[in-house]
Amino acid sequence: MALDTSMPILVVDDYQTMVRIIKNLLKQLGFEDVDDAADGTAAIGKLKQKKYGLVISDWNMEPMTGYELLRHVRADDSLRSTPFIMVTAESKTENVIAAKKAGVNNYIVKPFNAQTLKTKIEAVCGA
Amino acid sequence: MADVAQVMDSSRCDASYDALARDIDAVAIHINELRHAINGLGILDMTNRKLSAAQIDLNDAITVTRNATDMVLETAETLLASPLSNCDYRALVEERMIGLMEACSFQDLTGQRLTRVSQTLGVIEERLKTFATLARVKPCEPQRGAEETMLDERKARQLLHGPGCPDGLEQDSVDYLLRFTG
Repeated sequence: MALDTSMPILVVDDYQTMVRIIKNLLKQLGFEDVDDAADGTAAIGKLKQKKYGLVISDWNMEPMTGYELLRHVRADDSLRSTPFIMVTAESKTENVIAAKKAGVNNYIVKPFNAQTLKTKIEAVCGA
Repeated sequence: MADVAQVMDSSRCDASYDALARDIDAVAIHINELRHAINGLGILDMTNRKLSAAQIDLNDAITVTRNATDMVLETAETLLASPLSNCDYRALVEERMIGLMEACSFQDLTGQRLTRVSQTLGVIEERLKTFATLARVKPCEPQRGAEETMLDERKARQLLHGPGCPDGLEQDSVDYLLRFTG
């Protein structure tokens, strides 16, 4: 499936090592325009400044969690249509259901590999 | 008759004083036992030495783990970004592999530090148990402020529930849920 590798992606995670890992994997997949934010609040600031083709967010962050960020994005008319993938170790059934109800496009369970990330991005953003 | 009543009042009063004196003695003995129990805790030793050392050990373990991870990632990034020919690339890979092995030595330090912290926690636990027995402490929930409780609850909610959590889902189950739930 063809992927538009020129689309800007925002990676949201408070753990810098994980940001680095995801950015490297995205780079391997051909994505060059990748920004990052350390939590939901910082992510909203970036989302207001730039049009992103995809948000990849962790769940567990302070002060604003990935789930809270997702709800904020879906409640904002200017951001509502932004594809959103949750990448998290938070894999309890109720969390997955809550994320789906909040409008998540896909959900990746940590630990994951490059192939899983690619498949999910293709499923969400593929032409 | 009045004399008899006076004598009786006086003896009742003496009995009360005796009882009061016995209670005060008992309280004094208990305070003394408590003082010994508190001394046995070695609070100054725990706070000034053991807990500070444990905190340093934990911080060192965190730092060394982070540094090792950074080194591993940096090595991978260098190799992936390398535009070298096959021959040069092999030499670079060999050199960097040694760096990766060196980075793995972090486990040695973290293992030692974490073992020491674990031992310190064991010592503290034993002392607290002894103190609780001597002070005849009854089991109860520690008193915490409302704000502290709220923060703890939030932290508990934000804890990882993924790998290692018995009710955490695998990727396939998550995919199924996303596909078939409303």
